[in-house]
Amino acid sequence: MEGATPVPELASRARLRVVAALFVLLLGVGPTSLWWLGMGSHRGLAPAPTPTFEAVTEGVYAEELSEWLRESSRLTLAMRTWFLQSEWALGLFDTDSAFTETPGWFFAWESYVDEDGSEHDAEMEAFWTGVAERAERLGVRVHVLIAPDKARVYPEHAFPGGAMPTKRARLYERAVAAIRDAGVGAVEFLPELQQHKKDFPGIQLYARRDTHWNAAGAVLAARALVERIRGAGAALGAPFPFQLMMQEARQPVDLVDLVQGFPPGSTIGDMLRERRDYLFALMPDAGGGPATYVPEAMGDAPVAVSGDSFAAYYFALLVMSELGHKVDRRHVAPGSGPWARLVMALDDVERGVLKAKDLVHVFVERAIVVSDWAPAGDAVRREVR
Amino acid sequence: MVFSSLVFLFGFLPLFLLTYAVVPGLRSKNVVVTLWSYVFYAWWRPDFVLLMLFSTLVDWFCSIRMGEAGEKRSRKPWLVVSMVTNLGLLAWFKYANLVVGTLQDVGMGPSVWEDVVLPVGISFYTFQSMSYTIDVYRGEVKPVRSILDLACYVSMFPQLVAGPIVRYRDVQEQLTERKHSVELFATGAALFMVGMVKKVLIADHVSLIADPVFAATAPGFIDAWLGVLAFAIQIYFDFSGYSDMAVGLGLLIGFRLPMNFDSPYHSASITEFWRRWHISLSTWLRDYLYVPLGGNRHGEVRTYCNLATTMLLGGLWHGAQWKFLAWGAYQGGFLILERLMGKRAPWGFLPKPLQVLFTFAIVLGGWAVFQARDMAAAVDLWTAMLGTQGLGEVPAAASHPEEAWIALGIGVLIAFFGVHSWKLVQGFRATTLVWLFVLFVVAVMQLAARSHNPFLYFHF
Repeated sequence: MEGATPVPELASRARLRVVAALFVLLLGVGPTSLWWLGMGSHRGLAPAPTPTFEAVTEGVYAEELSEWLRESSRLTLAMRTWFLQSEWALGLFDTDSAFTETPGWFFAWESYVDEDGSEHDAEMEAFWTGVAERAERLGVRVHVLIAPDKARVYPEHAFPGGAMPTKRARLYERAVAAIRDAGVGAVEFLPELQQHKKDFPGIQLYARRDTHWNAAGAVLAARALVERIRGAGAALGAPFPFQLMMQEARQPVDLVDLVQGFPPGSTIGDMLRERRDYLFALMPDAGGGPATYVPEAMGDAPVAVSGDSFAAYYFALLVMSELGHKVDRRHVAPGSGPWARLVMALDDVERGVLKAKDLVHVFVERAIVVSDWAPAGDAVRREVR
Repeated sequence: MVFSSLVFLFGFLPLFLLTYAVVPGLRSKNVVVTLWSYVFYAWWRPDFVLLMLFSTLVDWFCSIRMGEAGEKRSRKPWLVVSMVTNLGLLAWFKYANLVVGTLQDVGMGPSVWEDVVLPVGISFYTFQSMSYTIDVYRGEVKPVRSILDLACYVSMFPQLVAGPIVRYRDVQEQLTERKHSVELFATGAALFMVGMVKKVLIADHVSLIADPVFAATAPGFIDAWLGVLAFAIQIYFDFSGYSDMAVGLGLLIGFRLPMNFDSPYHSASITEFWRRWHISLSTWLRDYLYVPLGGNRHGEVRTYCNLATTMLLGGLWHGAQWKFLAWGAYQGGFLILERLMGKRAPWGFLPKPLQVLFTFAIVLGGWAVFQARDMAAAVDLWTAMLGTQGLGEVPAAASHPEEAWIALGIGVLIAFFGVHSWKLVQGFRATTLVWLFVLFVVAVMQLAARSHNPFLYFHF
């Protein structure tokens, strides 16, 4: 309670000038890089929020800008990667979100949940039965394509000795059985994946640092599906002329969010983004020339695809390519969860918005053990919307 | 907005400094400081800027009237208006929930009550503003004619939300006559970087050890001591780091703000601890509460009463919870005990290192109360520290991330054996500077990498 408030004395060395210059330089990095790299939209990264009068006065803009700076600006993503890479190099990196057995291969934590899904049996049965009943009532065929977990396709990179834990090993076949038992068409292509991997060991089917399939994996999935649809005698009508175009692009891999770091030796570009050849579709315009593909223009497609990021990564367009017909992909929505978009697609069929008679839903195996399962009732639909 | 945020570092600070640099003349620069300070404050809740503006207007008006009133007796009504306004706002926004909650507990409060939102930093800027009107009343400071100068003083963003509590007389001349130099700027920059490193690389990591202990329902002996030790390091590096940043930012624009910490864990008694911890608050309480109450001028008993009152209210200043009152009582109790023993600690006969250790143990006991969820949790933690709940599971204590342990170790070493931030900056050895820049860059990168970035004194 005693003693005067000290007022600092100041140092006066010449090198203070160097400190001042360096500090200004450091402070300049932020605004300069934001200006240089841009605050607009990048592939896979959200654009910076736009300040509106309401957003600013209500304090919402402040939150949104802070969130954007943290999660979507190139500058902070780069810094995050540098920092975590340094932690990795120092042996301090620690995360519960992603794992690796083989260096350079990452797997999501869900891959290591050693469950066979039996505790979700009742919910799964109720859900798929609800889907089957609804599909029958609406006169549509539902094909559920099961995307095997990456750790199932590449157990040698995920588990010590390459052996998947016993209970987890049963999960896939139990999931397929649950769908079939409910009367819903289950499309399997795990055998094709495994055979392809055996025949062509140099061709990867899933990305190393991403949980999703790559273009090659998606082609196998699309072929298996198209075979099923054609085998089921779908009325597809006349083929639709369109053209697929490949374009090189880079985007953050999903495990960036989970693991937030990469092994030593990666370049900054590799750390942030995985090179990905993007597929674009062109369709004829009114005069017969090429025009950009518009999902909304596919409203009369005979086949619709729904699902989250697995459906989005190559798959929907490859189905169109393999099939030679329009595919309605308005219910392909990355981050939408394992089944929500299927429920919404059925809602749209009911409302007459979706005309397709064959609904394809991409269902991700690893979602089974972590999903909040619920019957496909009104409550679910409300939640989804 | 807090200093240790990406928005502040990448947006606010560079743009503010750029604007400040290009605007000519001190008066215009003060306008820049004031406007940007309002932006800084509005970032959290734009509407609460009006509250600060209102408080500033009232104090400016009252001080002008006091200046015109002449005699001290004629000045008093305006002082009362200022005090009632400031303390009224503080009471409503900070303590209304506590009062209503307590009344509800005894069946007397309203059945429906919507919690009042606490404006960030209200305790700090209210105390600053009050010190100005009190000083004008006492005749120690002349009333400021320009409301801009007062608004600049009250809202100045470096010290706005977490101190140090600056008195008007400390910056009065600087508002009109301060100088800018590269040396001053560099010193401020270095101090800012030291503060950022302390806060982000030590405090934030150590909180990973402290937080689970204070969230646990029945910690064991080891966890309890470890958690409270970690919190002691966390709060010191968090708050003193923030104060360093505040003083550093002040220097960037030519203001010399008072230092707020002086190696408090070097203290050999609680009396000494309070000379070194949150200096701007303890001296404020001394000059504007303890001394007006009579200080030590009216005999022993009255002195102890004044000391107790000051510490109780000082405890309550930290928050509207009974635990803060208990913490104030705890600290006040030891201050009284030491005064009874001739201004020395009961362990004052021991060698100095042991005195420091004993003092630190007493301080830890205080932090256990300070950070506990409530009084019941504080009692649980105390009993755990006394060993009545067993040793606890060692793995629970050992399961923290490695960097948290490293940060705790470095934090303890610096807290007990390190030099004061200011001395570190004064030295300006080349190796120190290189390390400082490296660590600062690492700290900023960590801000981008981690979402865990608590700031303790922001809530007070």
